[in-house]
Amino acid sequence: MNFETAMQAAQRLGVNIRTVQKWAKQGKLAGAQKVGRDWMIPENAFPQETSSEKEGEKRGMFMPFASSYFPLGEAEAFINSLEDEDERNIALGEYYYHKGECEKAVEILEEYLDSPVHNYRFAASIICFFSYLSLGHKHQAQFTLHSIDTQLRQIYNTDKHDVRAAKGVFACTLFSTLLHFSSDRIPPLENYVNDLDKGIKCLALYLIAYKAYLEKDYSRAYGIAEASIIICPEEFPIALIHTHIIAAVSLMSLTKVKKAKEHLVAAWEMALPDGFYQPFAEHHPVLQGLLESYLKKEHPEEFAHIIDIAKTYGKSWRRIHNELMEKTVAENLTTTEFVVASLYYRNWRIKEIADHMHLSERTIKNYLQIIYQKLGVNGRKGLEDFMLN
Amino acid sequence: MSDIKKRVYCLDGDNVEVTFVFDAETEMHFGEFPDFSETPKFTPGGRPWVNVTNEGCPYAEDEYGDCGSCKYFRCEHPGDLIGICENDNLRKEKAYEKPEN
Repeated sequence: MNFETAMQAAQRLGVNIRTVQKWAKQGKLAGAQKVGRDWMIPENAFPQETSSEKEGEKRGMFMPFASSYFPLGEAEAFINSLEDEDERNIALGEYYYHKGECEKAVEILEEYLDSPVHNYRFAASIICFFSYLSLGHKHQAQFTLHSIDTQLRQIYNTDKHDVRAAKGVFACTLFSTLLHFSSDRIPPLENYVNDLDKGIKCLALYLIAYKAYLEKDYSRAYGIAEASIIICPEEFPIALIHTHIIAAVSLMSLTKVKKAKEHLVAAWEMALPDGFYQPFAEHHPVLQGLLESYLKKEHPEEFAHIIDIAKTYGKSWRRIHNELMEKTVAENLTTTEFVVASLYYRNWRIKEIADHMHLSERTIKNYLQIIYQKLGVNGRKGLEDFMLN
Repeated sequence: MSDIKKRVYCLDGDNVEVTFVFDAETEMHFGEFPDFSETPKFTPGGRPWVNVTNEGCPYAEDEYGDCGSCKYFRCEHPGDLIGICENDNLRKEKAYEKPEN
């Protein structure tokens, strides 16, 4: 048997050395031997589940908040009604995240990042990762992503087609789609949807629609979103808010602005009673000025709060996206500049952008001049390298 | 670093002076460019000065439709945000040659 050092194993498995040492100590790396203070790991060894972890698979609910029904405005009451303390904590972390209170979400969920219960660990990883982005903690976000990615790959790389594999594919698709990171190694989520619980199934449909949008198949993206809205009527607010948003995003790309606004308003009316601002901040760059067009005027305070979240989230998001995709999506533009640049890149005329954003043509021209100077380009053609596809 | 810089753009025998103001947040100088669609200016050779953000020109031949992406746009240095249009249809002399109605 050939061995490698813990450092080499860490590089191969895409985790840090301490994780490898911990797995070796827990007996998860079969054949690992302690030599002095170091561990020697058999080449090609992968972490195996311990009996307590296998037991953990059966416990808990995956994302208990996002996958549950609760009446609008009664999110907190729903969480308090959960009997299991861990489940209640996970739900509370999710709740704070969707409200845009990411510090509170991380405070509650960080202890579950190492939980032996898969459902809790995966949910905590997802929420902590996106919370770290919102808080501007890029390195912690990267660390969480690497750590969970390896675990998730192990799950769906087996031939099993069960609930657990479906959750693994769902989580990987969620990370890759929301980071706009295309990956051929993730199996199509479409093949696993029926293995998911209903609330998560609705969120899965949102991800499938988002993937179609990223593939520039805007009509299909809207079709999936619309069908999902019909299938999940009012039952799962979190899923439905996201689905209305991706419908609006797709319609903006089809330049059906009026209908896009209707979906944004529908999402907003569902989000407002519980103060769920995070989904709007996350989607700000792809909403193509829709928030500026509707929320800025009608709900100025909430709009300002959303933009505050979007600023930090967007900055960390672009850094991680650029590293993963080897892209140069602009990191030095303000949120408004990014929206103006995105619309202009998509061949909107200056007058159209001005009308859409309730600004003067002169202001839009000034924005464009600043954008060009920041990016070192001097035309619509030059924006291509710096915008989201 | 100086708060204000000036640069003179020289093209086709004509000059345009632009003031660049320092922005402390981005630590960059941003130009205060004249808007040639509001106040047209021609070179002695009859070429119109244009901003790269000008659009809607009937002679634009590509999919982008803005002066900055147009093949007739000529600037002093790559990346400049103002320059001149070298399309002969837009030369001032051409305009004078047209019969007056």
